[in-house]
Amino acid sequence: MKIQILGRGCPECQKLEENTEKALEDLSGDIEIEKVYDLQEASKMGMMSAPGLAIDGELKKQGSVLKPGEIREVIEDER
Amino acid sequence: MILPLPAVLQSLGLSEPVAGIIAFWIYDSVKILTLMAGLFFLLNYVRTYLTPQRISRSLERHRVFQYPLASFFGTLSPFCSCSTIPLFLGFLRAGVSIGPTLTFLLTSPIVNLVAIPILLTAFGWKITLLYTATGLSISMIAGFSLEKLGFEKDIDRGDTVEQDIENRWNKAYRDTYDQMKRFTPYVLAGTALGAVIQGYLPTTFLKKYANTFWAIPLAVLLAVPVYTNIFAVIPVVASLMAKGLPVSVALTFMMAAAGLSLPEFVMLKEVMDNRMLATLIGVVTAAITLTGYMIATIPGL
Repeated sequence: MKIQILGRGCPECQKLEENTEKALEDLSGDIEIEKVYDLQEASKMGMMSAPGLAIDGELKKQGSVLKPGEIREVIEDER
Repeated sequence: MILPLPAVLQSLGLSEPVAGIIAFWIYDSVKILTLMAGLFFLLNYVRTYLTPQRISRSLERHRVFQYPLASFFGTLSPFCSCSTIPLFLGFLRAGVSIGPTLTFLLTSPIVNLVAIPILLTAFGWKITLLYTATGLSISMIAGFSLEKLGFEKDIDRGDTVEQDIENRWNKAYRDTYDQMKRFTPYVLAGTALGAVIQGYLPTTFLKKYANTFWAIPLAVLLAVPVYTNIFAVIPVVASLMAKGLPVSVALTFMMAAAGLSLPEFVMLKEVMDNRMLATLIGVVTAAITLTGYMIATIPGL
């Protein structure tokens, strides 16, 4: 599973990255984090409000900094 | 209800006029930040219904009113330079043409629904109305011009991915928190500068240098390298006006400082070619400058 953090140049994007890393601490499995800084690519996935959270190329959430618990939920839903 | 703050500060050992300046700074900051927090919260709740995706679909559908509509939606969308490119591309992918897209992006930092009550408390209804009307007009004219000049952006149409918001109040709270976190340092700097200006700037200074003809382009020039937002500019300009800055120069500076932002244009460079970007900057700058001169001809402001 590849978790993608979409967004660049804003403190919220940074925070989402940190929270995702925290969320992964308690999760097992083959999960990697990819940071998508290319905003054109992020837009192709449908993101209009930064930051965005996508899993394996599919946009799941956008517009807010999710808390680690919420990120974990999104991942579990995907499994 | 007004606390004798200057007296309190003086009893702590601070002399006049420092005590007065600090008291002014605290009053102004509390006033502006409280208004911002409350209004942003309400606006953010409304925005859970009015997402960028829905806005783009609405603009794509209602072509006849797309410019005023784009401008109106722009006033409801707090500006964040990180969302400039995603919004720009997202609107185009939803089928909105370049003109209204640019209008939306230009309106947002200049005329914001949250800023309007703050403008009212700082300047009164006449100047607020003038600022709002000219700000909206400029963004519509700029967007319209760029489109009519033939600039386009080739982009594949795509489906919008809607944001599913489970808890609206929660989202409103979070957005407000993020926005206040972002804006507060700028506002505090602006109110501090405003306080110092009202405390120390002699009224003769502006009377000597604010000769309107050159002051207007100078205001635009000075505003370009300034990276700030409308909330931080208001207290500075309010103090300058109290010290004699003409309304035309004040409004020109506010619009230019809020609307012409170097970082935003650097971001747009990634999605626009240099000719389009240069034209955009040129049109907006010219429009703001001309507006300044037009306002200067209005008597009795």
